[in-house]
Amino acid sequence: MAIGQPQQSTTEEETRDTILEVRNARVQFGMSRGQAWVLNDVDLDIYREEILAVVGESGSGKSMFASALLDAVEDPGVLSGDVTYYPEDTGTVSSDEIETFDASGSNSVDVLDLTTSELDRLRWEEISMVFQGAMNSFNPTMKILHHFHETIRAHNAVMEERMEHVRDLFDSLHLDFERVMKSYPHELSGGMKQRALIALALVLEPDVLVMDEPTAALDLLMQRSIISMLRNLRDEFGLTIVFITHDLSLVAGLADRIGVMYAFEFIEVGKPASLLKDAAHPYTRALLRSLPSLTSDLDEMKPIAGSRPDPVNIPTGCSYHPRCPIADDRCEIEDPELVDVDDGDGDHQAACFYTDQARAELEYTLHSESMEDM
Amino acid sequence: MRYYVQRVFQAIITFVGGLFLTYCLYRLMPGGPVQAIVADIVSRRVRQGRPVDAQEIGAQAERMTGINPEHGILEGFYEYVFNIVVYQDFGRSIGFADPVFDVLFRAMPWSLFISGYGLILGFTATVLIGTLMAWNEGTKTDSGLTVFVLTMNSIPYYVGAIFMLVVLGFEWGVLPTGGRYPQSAEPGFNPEFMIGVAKHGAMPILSTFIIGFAGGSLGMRANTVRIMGSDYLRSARLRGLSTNRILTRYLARNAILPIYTGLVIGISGVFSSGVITEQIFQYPGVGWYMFEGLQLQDYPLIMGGFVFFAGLTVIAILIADLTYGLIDPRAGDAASRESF
Repeated sequence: MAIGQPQQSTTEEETRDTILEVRNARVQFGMSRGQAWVLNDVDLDIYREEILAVVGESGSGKSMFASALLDAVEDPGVLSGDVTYYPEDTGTVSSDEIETFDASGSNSVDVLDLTTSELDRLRWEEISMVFQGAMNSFNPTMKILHHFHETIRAHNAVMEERMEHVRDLFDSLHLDFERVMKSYPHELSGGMKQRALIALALVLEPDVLVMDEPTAALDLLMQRSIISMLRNLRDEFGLTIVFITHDLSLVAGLADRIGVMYAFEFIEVGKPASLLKDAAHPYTRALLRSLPSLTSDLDEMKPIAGSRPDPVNIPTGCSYHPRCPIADDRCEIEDPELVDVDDGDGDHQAACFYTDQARAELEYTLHSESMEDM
Repeated sequence: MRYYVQRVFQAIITFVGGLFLTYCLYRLMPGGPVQAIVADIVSRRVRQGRPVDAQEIGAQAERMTGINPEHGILEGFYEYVFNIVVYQDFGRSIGFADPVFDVLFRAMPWSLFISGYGLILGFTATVLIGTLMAWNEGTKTDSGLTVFVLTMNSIPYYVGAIFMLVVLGFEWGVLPTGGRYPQSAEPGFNPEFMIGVAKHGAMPILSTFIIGFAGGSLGMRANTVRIMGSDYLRSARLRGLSTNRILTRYLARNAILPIYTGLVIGISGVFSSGVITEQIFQYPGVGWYMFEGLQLQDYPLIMGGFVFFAGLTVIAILIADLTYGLIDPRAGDAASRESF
């Protein structure tokens, strides 16, 4: 068992309440060269009202993980394993929401076991998503307003009430309601489109918002401002946010937890403070050493040797062993699970047999200001 | 607004330019129409032993063609256009002994009837078949329809028309083989006439339909497949929109954009193909009169037909230009739209 029972693992200041539980999630693609695993046995708990940042290089399975949370993996990908959603207690569910998914009596939803119509309701009403291609997520021949209307109508929600909520969202996102609503997508700037898209994702007051590289293709200032708006949204609407990105420094100050993906699985999960200051996995350490910064010497930056693994032919044992400087025979045979490092309170976990050795032997320095805030 | 004015202006210039070129051909061709008519009059006069007076012959030729051979090309062109615009005078048909305008004007509704219906059916089939193929991409439905469409596309419409005429008209006798409506029927709002019109129009419409749909649907399929992979379609699906809405408002609407202009400009192609279609089915529309005029060397009539087809083409392109902004908000009056 990679991760301990979350409900039991309590720290002094907070109770961890799991909202999404992912177990043995695998995504398989049949390719002419053989079976490709683009999500390989992922176990993870996502806690209520946290901001979880998922980082990793291109093609590490980040987007697949995001899609898996909504059972939205595109054909011909096949998702297996378990994704369980724990809705909030019914007392706090807003009036317009259709009855929660507790038909079975228990207060949990097996996301991968829903019928099509149940899935249609789960998506957007409970778990919502902002896509990677945010620039193209609006229908170019439709005004922004109609995107909201059709979504509200498709979910049989009360139009006036929802549009009121959208006005609140637009205020929080610093968007001019009248102007944006009567525009076509091409008449908006990238940042406006992105924020309108976030509002569209939140129109039905979902509990979880999955964002797949939401700030790619935006300039740095807009990225920062969207990040700060996200934090406000989380506080204001009690959201749980899963934030997929390849930009570690962007989320360092935002996230409550960071999950690092390599070769289609999580290799390290932890609070930013401990994960960034003293990463336990050799890959994370190498990743942090390769980050560019204004103040560091170019000599200090080191690329990670080798290339990323082929999804058809993932290395046996620890998938990082071909590129890992401290790998030994055990790493080639045995696949390490995520285990607690440090004091073992579940705050920081890594999938490596030799975390102590990694910390001792592989050095890196943090430069980015936002990371030093941690 | 400026855009629309500009387009209308361009269309007028195009039309007048086309008209002028045709007119020059008409005048300058060695042994061309006007010369032929003049020669005809002269030889008749010589046979009858009457005096050959150039001015008188020129005036007579002008009455017949609307063009006075004594005048220069520019002057003559001005008079020709002036007569058309002010008096709707295209000259006098030689073969039908009526003003050309009357002959063509009487035939026009019938041409519009068969071409219009053929086009509407063709467009609908293009969009439906294209979307259907894309929706079932890679399945048997897709490849089956592709083979069907390619086959239809490779059969020239006139071969299809003759085949229909032979089978439906002569072998089975289901549909009439010529004419616009039954001889016995009284034109007006009565069932016999209306059913007759529908029956007589059926085969010309069907053969126009064949021209309309085949090529376009492959293009439609390609566009649809591209849009099915787009982010906004995926987003629409996850937002739980109904399949119906996704198909119409997202898929078809966006896939039509690139082929829309082609479809509208295709209107003129369909009308000019009427020359052959109407001849095959002996359906007296504008095309039929043009072909008759060709055989009778009825030059004024042919010239009138040219003007008709040129006008139609220009109008079709103009419509495509003016309406594209309506179906694609990104185009058209984009410059005048507030952008922020």
